[in-house]
Amino acid sequence: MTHQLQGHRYYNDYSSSDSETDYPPRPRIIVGQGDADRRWETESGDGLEPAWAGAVQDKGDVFYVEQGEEPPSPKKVAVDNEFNSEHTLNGKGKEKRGLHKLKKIIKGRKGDNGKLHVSLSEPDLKTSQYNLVYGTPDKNTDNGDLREVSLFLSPDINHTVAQSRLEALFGIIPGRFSIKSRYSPLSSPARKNDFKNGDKIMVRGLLPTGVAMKSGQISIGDCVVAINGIPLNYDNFNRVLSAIVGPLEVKLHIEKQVLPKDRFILQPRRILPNGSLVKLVSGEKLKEITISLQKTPHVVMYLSIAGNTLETTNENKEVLYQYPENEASRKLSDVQGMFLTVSDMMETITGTRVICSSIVINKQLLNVGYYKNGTEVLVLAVPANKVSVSQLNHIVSDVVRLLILLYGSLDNTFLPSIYQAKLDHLFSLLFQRLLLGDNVHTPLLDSNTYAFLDTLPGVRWLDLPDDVKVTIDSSLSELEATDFADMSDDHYDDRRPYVILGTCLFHRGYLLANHLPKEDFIDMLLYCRYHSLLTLASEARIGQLVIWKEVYPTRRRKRKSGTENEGYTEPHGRDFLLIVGMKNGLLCMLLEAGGCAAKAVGNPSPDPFYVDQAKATLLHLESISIPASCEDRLSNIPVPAISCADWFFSSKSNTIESSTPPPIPGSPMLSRLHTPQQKGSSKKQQLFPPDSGGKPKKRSGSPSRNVARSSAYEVDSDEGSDASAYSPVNSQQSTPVLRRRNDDNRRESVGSAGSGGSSSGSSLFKSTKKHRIIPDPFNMAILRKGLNEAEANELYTATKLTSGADNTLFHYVNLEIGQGVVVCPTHKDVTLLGGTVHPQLIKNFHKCCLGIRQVFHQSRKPRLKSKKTQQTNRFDRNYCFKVVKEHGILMQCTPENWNEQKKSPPTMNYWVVGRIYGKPFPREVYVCFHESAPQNTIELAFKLSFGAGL
Amino acid sequence: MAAYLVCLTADGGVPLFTRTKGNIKPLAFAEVGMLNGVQMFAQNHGVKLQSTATDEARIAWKVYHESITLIVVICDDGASDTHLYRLLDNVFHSMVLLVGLDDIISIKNVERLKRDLKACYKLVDTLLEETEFFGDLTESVDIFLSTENSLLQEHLESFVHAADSTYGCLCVMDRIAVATTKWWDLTGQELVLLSLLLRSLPQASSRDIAVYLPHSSPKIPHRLLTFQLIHGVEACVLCGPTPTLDDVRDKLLEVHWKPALESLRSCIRVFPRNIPLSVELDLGILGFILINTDNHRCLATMHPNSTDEKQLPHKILSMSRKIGILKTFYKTVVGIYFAPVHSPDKEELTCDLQALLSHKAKDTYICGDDYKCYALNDDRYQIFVLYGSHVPTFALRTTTQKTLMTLIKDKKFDEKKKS
Repeated sequence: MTHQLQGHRYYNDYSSSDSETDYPPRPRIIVGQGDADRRWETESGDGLEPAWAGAVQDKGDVFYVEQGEEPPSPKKVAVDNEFNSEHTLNGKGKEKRGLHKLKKIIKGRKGDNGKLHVSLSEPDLKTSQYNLVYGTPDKNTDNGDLREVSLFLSPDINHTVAQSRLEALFGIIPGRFSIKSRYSPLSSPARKNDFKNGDKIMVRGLLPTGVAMKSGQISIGDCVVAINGIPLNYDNFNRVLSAIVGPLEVKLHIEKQVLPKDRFILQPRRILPNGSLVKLVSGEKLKEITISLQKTPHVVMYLSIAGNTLETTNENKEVLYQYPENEASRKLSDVQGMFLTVSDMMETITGTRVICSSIVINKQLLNVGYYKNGTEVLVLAVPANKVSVSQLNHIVSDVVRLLILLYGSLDNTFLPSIYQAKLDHLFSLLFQRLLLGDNVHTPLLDSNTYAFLDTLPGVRWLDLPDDVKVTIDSSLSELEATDFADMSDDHYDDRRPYVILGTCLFHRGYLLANHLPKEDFIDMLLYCRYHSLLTLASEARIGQLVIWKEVYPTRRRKRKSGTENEGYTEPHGRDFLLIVGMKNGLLCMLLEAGGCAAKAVGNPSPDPFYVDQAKATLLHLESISIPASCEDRLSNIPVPAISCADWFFSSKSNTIESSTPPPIPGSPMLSRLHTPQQKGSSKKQQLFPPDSGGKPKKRSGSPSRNVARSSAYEVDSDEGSDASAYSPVNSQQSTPVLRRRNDDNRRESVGSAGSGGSSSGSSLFKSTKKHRIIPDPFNMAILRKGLNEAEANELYTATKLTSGADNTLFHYVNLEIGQGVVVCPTHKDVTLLGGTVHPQLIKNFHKCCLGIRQVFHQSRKPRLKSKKTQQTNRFDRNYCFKVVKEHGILMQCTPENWNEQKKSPPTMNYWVVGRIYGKPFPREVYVCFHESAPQNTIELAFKLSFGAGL
Repeated sequence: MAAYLVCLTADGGVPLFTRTKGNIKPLAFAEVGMLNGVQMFAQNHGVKLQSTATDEARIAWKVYHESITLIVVICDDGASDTHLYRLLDNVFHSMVLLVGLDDIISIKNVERLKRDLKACYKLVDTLLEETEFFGDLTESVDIFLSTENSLLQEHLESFVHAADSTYGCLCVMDRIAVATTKWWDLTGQELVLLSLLLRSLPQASSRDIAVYLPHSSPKIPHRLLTFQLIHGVEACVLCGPTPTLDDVRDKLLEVHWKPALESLRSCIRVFPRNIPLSVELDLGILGFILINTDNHRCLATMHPNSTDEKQLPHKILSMSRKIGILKTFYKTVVGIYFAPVHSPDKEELTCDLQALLSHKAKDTYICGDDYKCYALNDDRYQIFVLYGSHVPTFALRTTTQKTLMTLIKDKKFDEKKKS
């Protein structure tokens, strides 16, 4: 039903049924054996396939990503408003309607929407799929812009049945452009005479798969004038083009259509800039990545030891897989024998498994990660300045886990070369993420700054108000219940094909809810992470995303070996992963066939019913404005409040004598610690009225997931009142909240601070105002209206975590290992703070965290049980630290571009501290704070855990 | 701690010597060949294999002057590669110290070289062993502070002068108590290796050893004369062909050192604290390493407190554990957050975290189950302090700063810096 939401046709009057089979690139379904009828029954009646059906591969897998629209830019809004109904149809509307309403609309529109007629003479604006762009003649067109477009054709003999040769060869749907009925598009009368004989061929539409479309140089409305110098017109083109039989390069002469200013032409939607991201993720731009990485040595190889010696390395038999195969990896693949020998030798000499090497090629240091699997070894080599050793170790183990998840075992992955293309895709995404992080080609992909977060066994979690969480959870539970009327077992007297084991929901790469067990969740997370889906969802708006893949969850393998859960046996089912994405949302499901569901036969392709249900859930969530509240939360103030490092620089002359805790001279932030805090909770309730939009629709989710978190914040300490007001702040604020007060507010707060006991506040403020080096960005930039001072003040104090004169917390990362959840400030929070030093600080913080975490895990690494047989040849790790609980680093920074030569630049010291907790809930906390932070608040920061806990 | 050290000729791959430490079986000939072969294979393809890590061990390869290949296989102790390469450098320079660079660079007779290199087995073994000394780790020589130092300095200077040299030092319990300014001008590695050499040699009342200084004069040998003054105290002179050992021993020794005998005796009483009893330290401190990166001195003690440790309120850590923790702490911090003290001829590419960080790390600490460590990185000083677990974390910083100030206050640690 919802398949019409895709809207991906770039040509206007393509009639769906008549010539469908004639086009090879047209979506085509490879139907699994036997159960085709049932699978498609939901589609019966309209006979249309879902857009992703064309992406079904031979194993039933689907990886279909379709690019979405950008939110309309202000310029276009006027035009877009006309098409609001159309937008809704395309699933991109902003209106928040109920699902049923939406469905109804779709149903209603379906009839007249089957065929879209657009012709130049009578532009039917109502049904057009295209944005209207006013035809503004550019400079070239005034001269009768005649261009040459070179296209490479490779005609397929089988498809000569096409309506026209133009369509078959170029993907151009020709239209008759009658000269007499039009104004002359040609400014040169001489040229006009050349084509008197017949009507011109106008490009009426472009097939998305045609060469014309791909070249990007031909647009709708252009006229095809000649080919290789032979004039073409509507009457002769079929004859002329029939001469083309073999692959060859042709030159098309294209005349740019000139239209008067008061007319519109209909243009296909332009490829949006972030379309490149979609293409990257979907693997369409594989070649380009490979080219841009040509200079950077990197490789992934799967080598077989069988019969290998150093001498026979030139034979490629031992290389079962290699990516990329180009200049960049030549040197590395030349020494594959070295990798094999090293991995083998290490085991015999030291008795332990090889992990990594560092090698130098052309004066560039490379880190090489190994994973030894029997006689085979997986080798991953990357430049050391991009990927550190500890990061590489994480990546190798993650990749191995992912590959086993996807293909059952490493041998399965690499031995048959059938997965070659998919592996290329996966590894190209990996290298792109690791090596091209800051590159111009992919500015949107996560840079290596956040490499640390990527190594964690968890994903960033968006902390939403409880009622929103309940709503999301209940929606997901409802989906998981698969209690659909026409799906129930007795309805068709048929077993349901799949049981939904669990789901999880992401928005912009942030986890909103997870109903999967931890192991499964980590599997799912790895899949999304290594296919850059989270990045995609956070940066681009996805039109439609459907991914289907049979998977071999880690959980099953672990169960097999372990003897836990006696009395319970896992059903011998098959597991399938289904990811459906729309806009910024991603819904991941793990399905099980077998067990209590029907047994899967062959390699089933995704059941459209489940895909539709997942889409419906996403639509439903959208209709109750879940994405909107997520956006609200993301654009809201960071909670707990974090500071920007740049605010802490000050000249030393400002130092003011004061009692403990020492205030930071020159800081723009003021203490509200000592002001009375005992506002009743009732007032807070008023301040943050419960969200009216997100009422739980039907059943409530499982109550255990929705424990009110605020209770966790009633910390019994001096700062408790600060912290306890924490959670309600996240509720949907229609008015974005003032982060820091403007000067008026500040003056006000100084007054109250004075009454509250912080007598130094006033003088502090005055001195800081004069001498502040870097202006507080919040004075101007984030000033929002509509919030009275009292509310603003209270909010500010409520969100400040640390005590003392200033908010000394810069950044934090909290990893709940049991939940697979990371809580940290959002990217937006960080960019909001701005500053020049702060981004560096964040970068350093993440790098330090990587080091700290390595120390933690090195000290906790379980000793391998020594095999009795070879106790003679053993190396035992000699790590005297035993258990490390806390590790901190004090960093010193100075502002950039320090101009005053005479004075030495001011310095600011900040701590990066990590702490690991074992029982009962293993978690790791990393905090970055100013050195002046008093110890008790640091302790508090660790204990608070920043609101994690689903 | 188990370790292998393999030394081969770079072009032919002929094993020159192999040292095995710990309870592991010696390397088979084929394994030695494989270790070397993989490195040579890589080299032929224009790839330099630097190091490899396994779950519990690490391996590093290094070729010196295209003539000698050194391979070390050692237990993983969480250290960065920097420390692995430094170990190899130390081994190579030990060979230079005793054999001379000429013989090593241009190998004419492999069998002869093998014989010659036997002389440095002891020294190499010392490098692989876990000792209570930190010099080889920090590339700064272990020193010994006592209140008698200024007095002893005078005696040493006159003694060295009389021996017609400018290089001389006085070692107390294998740590340098005083030395001439020229002696301090030697590089950190030379200082470390010379005192390591003394330690590795069997006890003797006097010695006369030919040494090549790895950096100052790697091709021309000097004579190192040592004389045991009292038990645990040795006077060393570095000189040319004259005077003879007998001359110095018979004519100069008594004249110059007899008057200082009392000072020497009181000096040795400071051992094992290594710092004068007058310097008071916080009771929570279990040990520390203080390094002056400018003049390559390293002061370490595991007995900071004169009082009996059993009376202290914290859990007692064994001596080897204390040393182990401090060494691991040093290796974890230096080369990762703090810049290491490099020897002059460092050539490996490393990509340590510290190079990637845009801000300078100043302090760092680690809290374990039964210990706490704090390190401070000042301009010239690095101090690594081991605390008992009872010391509150927030006190670590101030206590460490105070300790550093106390130790460098009376210029004991620093006095020869100016000259």
